Order: sequence, then C-alpha cells, then structure tokens
Amino acid sequence: MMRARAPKPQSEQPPSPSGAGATADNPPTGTGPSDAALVLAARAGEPWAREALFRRYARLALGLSYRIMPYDGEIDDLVQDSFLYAFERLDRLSNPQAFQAWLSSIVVRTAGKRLRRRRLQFRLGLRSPKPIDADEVISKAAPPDVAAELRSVYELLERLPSEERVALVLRRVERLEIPEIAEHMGLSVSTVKRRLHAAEERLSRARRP
Amino acid sequence: MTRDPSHYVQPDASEPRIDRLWSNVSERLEGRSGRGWRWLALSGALAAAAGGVLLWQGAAPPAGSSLQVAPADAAKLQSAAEPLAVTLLDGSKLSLAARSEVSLQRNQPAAVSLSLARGRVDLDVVPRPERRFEVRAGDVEVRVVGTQFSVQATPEAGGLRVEVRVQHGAVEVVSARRPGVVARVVAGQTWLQRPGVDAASEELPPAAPTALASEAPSKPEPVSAVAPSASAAVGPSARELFERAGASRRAGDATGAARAYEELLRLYPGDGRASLAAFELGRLRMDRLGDSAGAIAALERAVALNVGPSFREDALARLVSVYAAQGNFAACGRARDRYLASYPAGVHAAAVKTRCGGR
Repeated sequence: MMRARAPKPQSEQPPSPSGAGATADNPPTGTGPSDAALVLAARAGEPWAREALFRRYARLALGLSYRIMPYDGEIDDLVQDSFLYAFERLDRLSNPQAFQAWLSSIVVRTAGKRLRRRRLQFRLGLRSPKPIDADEVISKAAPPDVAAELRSVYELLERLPSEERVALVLRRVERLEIPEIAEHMGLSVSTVKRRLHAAEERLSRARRP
Repeated sequence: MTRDPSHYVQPDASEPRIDRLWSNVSERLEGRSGRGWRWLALSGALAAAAGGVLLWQGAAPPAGSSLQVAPADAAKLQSAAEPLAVTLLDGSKLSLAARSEVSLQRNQPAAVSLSLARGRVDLDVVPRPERRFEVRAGDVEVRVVGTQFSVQATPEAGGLRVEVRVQHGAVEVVSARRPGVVARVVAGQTWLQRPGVDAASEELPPAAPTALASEAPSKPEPVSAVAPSASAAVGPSARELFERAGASRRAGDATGAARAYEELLRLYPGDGRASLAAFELGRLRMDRLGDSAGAIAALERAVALNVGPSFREDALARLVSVYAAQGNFAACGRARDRYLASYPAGVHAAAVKTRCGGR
C-alpha cells in the first residue's frame, strides 16, 4: 500500500520486464523513466511526461484523498486540483525525484483547505454536515481490530477541526511519524503534536462507554 | 493479511475513473494555458502601448524549459548567456542560441513573422499550409515550407552574414539583392549570403549526421538554387512521430509505438527527441516485444546519444538486466561496471551488483 510518507528511492531493483509488484495504490517501479526524468520532461513542456506522472500517482492521490475526505463526490476535484497545482509549479520542486512525496503533501494541504471551507459553509448554514458511513468506507476484509480502530476514527472525523482531522488520519490511518506529518501539512512539529494530542483526547472520550 | 489500516480504506480507482480524471486535468491544463496566453497578450499590448516591446531574457526560464508566447504585435525575444526555448501560438518552437535576439513581428494563426537581429535561431515549425511563416535576417527572407531549420545572422564588415541551414523539410529563401529569385533549400543543405558578395548564394556541406551510420538519414535531394515557390509535400515531423508513438503506447499498441520511434530515429537522428525515442524503443523492445537484441541496440544508442541523466541511469541498469537475461555474462559484467562507475550510489546499484551470474 502506498503511504504518504517521504519515499525511499523508487526501486531497489533494476527495471523488470513485467512491472510486477504494482498494487492498487502503489505505482509500478522500474518500468520506465524515473520520476526525476518525467519531471524534467514535464517541465520542458512534454505532455506525455505529465500524463505518465499522473498515471503513475493518480491512485496514490485518490487513496490519500479518500482517506482524508471519504466523500466520493469530492475527491475527484481534490485529486484534479492537486495535480494541476503540482504541474503548474514543477519548477519549484527542487528534487525532481521527490515528486511522490511532494504530490502527497500537496494533496494533504489541498484537502485541508477544502475541509476548512466545508466547516465554514457549515457554520454559515450553506451546507449540512453529513456523517461518514464507516461501514461504507472501511473494507469488509479488514481484520476486526483494524476495522474497530478505523471505525472509531471515521466516526469522529466530521466533528474534528480541519487540522486535527488531517493529522489524525495521517497518524492513525497512514501511519506516518510526527515529523512526516509536519512536513506534509506544512506545520511545525510542535503544532502537529498539539493537534494530535487534541484529536487523541477527543478520540479517547468518544471511545468511552 | 496486511495490518496497514490504509489498505482497508480505498476508493474506486478503476481505469475508467483514472482516464476520466486525466481527461479533466488535461483539459484544465490546456484551459489554463489559454488563460496564460490572454495574460501574455495583454502584457504585449501594454508593452506596445507604452511604446516598448515585450522582452524576454534568456536567464528568466530555467535551462531546458519552454516559454509560451501569445499573439503580440511587438515582442522581442532575447537570450542572455543561456539558450532560450520559446513556443509560439501555433505550437512551433524556437530555440534561440545564447546571446541572440529575434523580434516577433507577427504571431497570428494566419501568419508568423520573425526578424533575427543577431545570433542564431533554430526552428521546429508545425506544418500548416494555410499559415505563412517567415524569418527575416537583414535583407534575407526565409519562407518556411518544411519544418526544421536554423537561421544565423552574424555581423561582418559591410553587413550581415546570413546562413540558413535546413535539417528537415524545405524553406524558400529570398534576398533583396536578387528580387524575384526564390532559392529552395532542402534538408541537409545550407544557404549562405555574405556581405559584399553580390547576390551570391552557395551551398555548404551538410552537417555530419549524429546518429549511427545504419540509421543515418537518406542523402538530401539535389539543391536547386532557384525553384518554384509551391510547397513540397512534407512527411511527419519528429514531434508528430514522437506523439504518434506515445499515443500508440497509451493505446497498448507496442508494435505501433516501436515503429514510430524507429521512424523518428531513422528520419531525425539529430532531433532533440532522438535520445528519448531510443530509450523508449529499448524499453518497449525489452518489456513488451521480447526483442532483447533490439533492446540492447536501442538502449546503447540512447546512451550514445546522451539521453538525459535519469534516463541514462535507467538505460544502463536495463542493459545489465537484458544482458543477464540473455546469459551474456561477459557483456553483463561490462554493463554492470559501467553502471557502477557512473552511479556508485544509484537507485539500481544494489540490485545491479547481484546480476551477471554473481561475478
């Protein structure tokens, strides 16, 4: 499963003919130009390189978006906005090989903005909160203990402020370390700790019988 | 069974959804590009209204990047110490050599007109019969019939020395010194006018091909110093072949993609896309077509053509793999040593070391 964490080098293996090893969320490794090569070609205006980057990481972006905002009607926009932002600012990516981690952080920050906007709309009465249907979101194949933890997280999410919500998903679902969460969210480590502490407190309270 | 929670919270990520998302992203990218043009057009109009010109300095975009230029009545393109790549309204590309200057006098769908003040400009012009494309240098006018050529203007005592080199297709050259005379210059030929030499044009030897001899371009047709002005039929450009290959690849037609890359390498061995085409051809032959010998030839060619650093690393790693798969351990060992010499800490270094039968 592709995680949002900063990537290790893309492949420890030389390119293999099959590209085997790709999973639903995990881009195939070693089956073509490296990310750095694609980024450089995309910067030079090659449309095929942008498409290759998109197809390589669309599932990663979709998965991460969905786990933060499990509303099928909205994540398409989130994914599209994230890639557009990335493609229009490729020149700012100092390490082209780090495209995956950079895109992940763009998805996280774009999701945060959308969540803040949603909460504002709730407060203004422009839209109504819609509880997340945990049964719909969590796969039935999940082991019981994993499903239980996910359920407690997703049943709480809609009640959390945006930053607490994103931090909690990155910690509890994506299993990122705090410095990684800070990097993805563009916050300091101490701010992330505070947000996580608050979210975990709410989670504990929600779990109490 | 994995215990990774993220594994159990997954959206629909089917191919049709990915296709639809890409289609939307692609359209929005094009749309934003259009908005950018309007903005640039406004900049051009403001600059013109202020009595100035739209000026782009070569140092502005990063090396290797491309700048899009919108329709503007007065635009001056000027490169500093680095070359400047520019894409015009119709997709035609200019590459301005370092310390060169060209005025974009017209950049409209029906007509493009450039004036080279100094230095050299290389052009890759999208063929459009309905559009007139001209480049002026001093009293020389070059009308574009084909696609790839360069114009160089060098100040010399008594005026400009103007040189027109054609890499692909054909152009027509008119000099004010010989009114009514149209010289047709075709691929591989060079047209030259020196100051003080009365209306003379001469042909220089074509540039040496940069590709392997087996795939060098065919000999150019004989020059005719004065030719009719009708446009000649021109085959697909390097860009068209590259895009055709990409489309075939995306459609799952590996054979068609390989054919287009082969054609590109045969017709345009000196094109900027050739090295990448060779790499992609090697990848297709290796991954999809089961042609290991062909893959080796293409990958070696990509390396010889100085494919970009990241592609080069992949190409060298692939050569190790394909030699190993062939059982050619001597060649595999050489390829492995070559990879490790270039990329001792490369992303494939650990795996490459274990190839070649452990030797």
